[in-house]
Amino acid sequence: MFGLIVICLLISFQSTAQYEVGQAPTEWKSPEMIVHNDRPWNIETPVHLLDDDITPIEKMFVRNNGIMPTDLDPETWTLTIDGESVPNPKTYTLNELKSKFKHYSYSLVLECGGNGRGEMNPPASGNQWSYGAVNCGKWAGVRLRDILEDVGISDDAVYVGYYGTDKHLSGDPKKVVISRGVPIDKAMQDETLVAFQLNGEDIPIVHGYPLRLVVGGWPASASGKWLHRLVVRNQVHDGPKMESPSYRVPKYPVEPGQTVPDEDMMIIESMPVKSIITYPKTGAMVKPGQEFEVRGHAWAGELEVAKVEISTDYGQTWKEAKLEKPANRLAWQNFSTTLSLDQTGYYEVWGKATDSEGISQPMVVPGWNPRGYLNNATHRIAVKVQ
Amino acid sequence: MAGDKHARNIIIFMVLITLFSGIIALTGKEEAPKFTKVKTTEKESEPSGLEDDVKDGIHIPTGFIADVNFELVVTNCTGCHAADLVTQNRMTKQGWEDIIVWMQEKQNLWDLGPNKEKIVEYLAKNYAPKEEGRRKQLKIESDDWYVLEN
Repeated sequence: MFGLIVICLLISFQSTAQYEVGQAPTEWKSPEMIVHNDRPWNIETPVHLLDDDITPIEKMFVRNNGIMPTDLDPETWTLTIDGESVPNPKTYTLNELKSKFKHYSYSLVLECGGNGRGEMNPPASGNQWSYGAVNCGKWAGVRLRDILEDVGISDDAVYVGYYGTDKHLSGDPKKVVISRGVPIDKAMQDETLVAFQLNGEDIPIVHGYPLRLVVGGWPASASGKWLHRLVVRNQVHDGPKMESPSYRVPKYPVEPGQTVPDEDMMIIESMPVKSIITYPKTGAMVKPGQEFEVRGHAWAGELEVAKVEISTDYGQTWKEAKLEKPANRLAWQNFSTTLSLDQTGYYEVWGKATDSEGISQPMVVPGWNPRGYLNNATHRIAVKVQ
Repeated sequence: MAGDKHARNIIIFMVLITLFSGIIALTGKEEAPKFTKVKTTEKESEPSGLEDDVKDGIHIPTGFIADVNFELVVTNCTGCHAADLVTQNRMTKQGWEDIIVWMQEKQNLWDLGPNKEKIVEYLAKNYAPKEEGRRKQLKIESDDWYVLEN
């Protein structure tokens, strides 16, 4: 009996470890994670760790803009809905949200708008993400639409913006770290959640405990962490990091390195088609004729992926991989194929996804832009046959 | 145990400082200038104490290249964010200048005065872009190749 209690205590201690206030996420994230920055936390996942259908929490990338909040009592936590297009603002406790509205759960791709920035030439400023600022987690919560319908919003609603409780790096308590959002149509989609669970657990602090706006298929910065206020605006939301050049790209193709005026930049919405090869890990050595599986995931923002192809000759010829349907809209799709290479030597295995509108991933880094967003070039792994 | 040792070291340090300042006060000859502008930041060779942590040309606690004026960069850039946010970037002089202006306009960075030019010069020299072509070569270190078993 005593042993059982000890085991229960140990288990509960383990499962709460990642929710300790002030704890460094590196204490419980996979030791292979790449820390780009520890103030604020910016942590990338090596692509081979993203092999699971649903990304385990310890393998999820972190992109924070400020310092994580420390006052996170679920008993006193509230969510307030106001803004120009809310005639009667309303505040819900966490328990009210959970009990009043129906719960939904979706697998949703969250990808940092700057994923792939490290390949921009000339370099773009910011965290130099490689290919691993993406994941597909199982989020559970209530629909934002159900909340907005309960509050009642006016016809002039254009945008929904979020506010969290993170602290500005400069220490200025009045300064908002980041307050982005989505147009009202995206806010009303079935899959847009006010979530309180990730992969069946409370959301870890670093990912937004106790409440997060989750918007699949759009830059992950649209999914506000530590959510305590939503504003329904009668104009495009103008919180910090909505403005140019943050999370914006030029409205027209520009020459690499070109200066682009603020008014010529547009907000990034749906993320472009992309895929990653999660197995084998780059650097694999195989024997001539040895059959080996190549697999990974593909996603396409608001769209579905129609096709994934694999090349071992720098894109001269392509082999179509087996592609699965997504678990739900806005989830990533698994692909797999089997390769065998007879000639000894150095190879690169490239993966190329095509979305339901026929748009494919480029084989070189696409449209340079001042802040280095949206690099969806084909992912590559190195393989030697010897 | 380590904490005890640390606390003891702090106490010894404080005692020494008190004794030292006491001696200076008593001798009273070289009165330390109080709020006189000595323009310490103008002098590039002014000892800042940061040099003690330089090893093989790198300031170990931050990772900054220990070139002329790196102390200014440590002092002004790591108050709010980790040094990694700087050292992982590569930009032209204009690029570094633009990001400083953006931080001043949007992120509460203070007025750097005449140090701004020195900081920009340090960054543009030590963290300049390299020509990488349209796509970088994949880099696999020799130890990272592994045998794939089925």
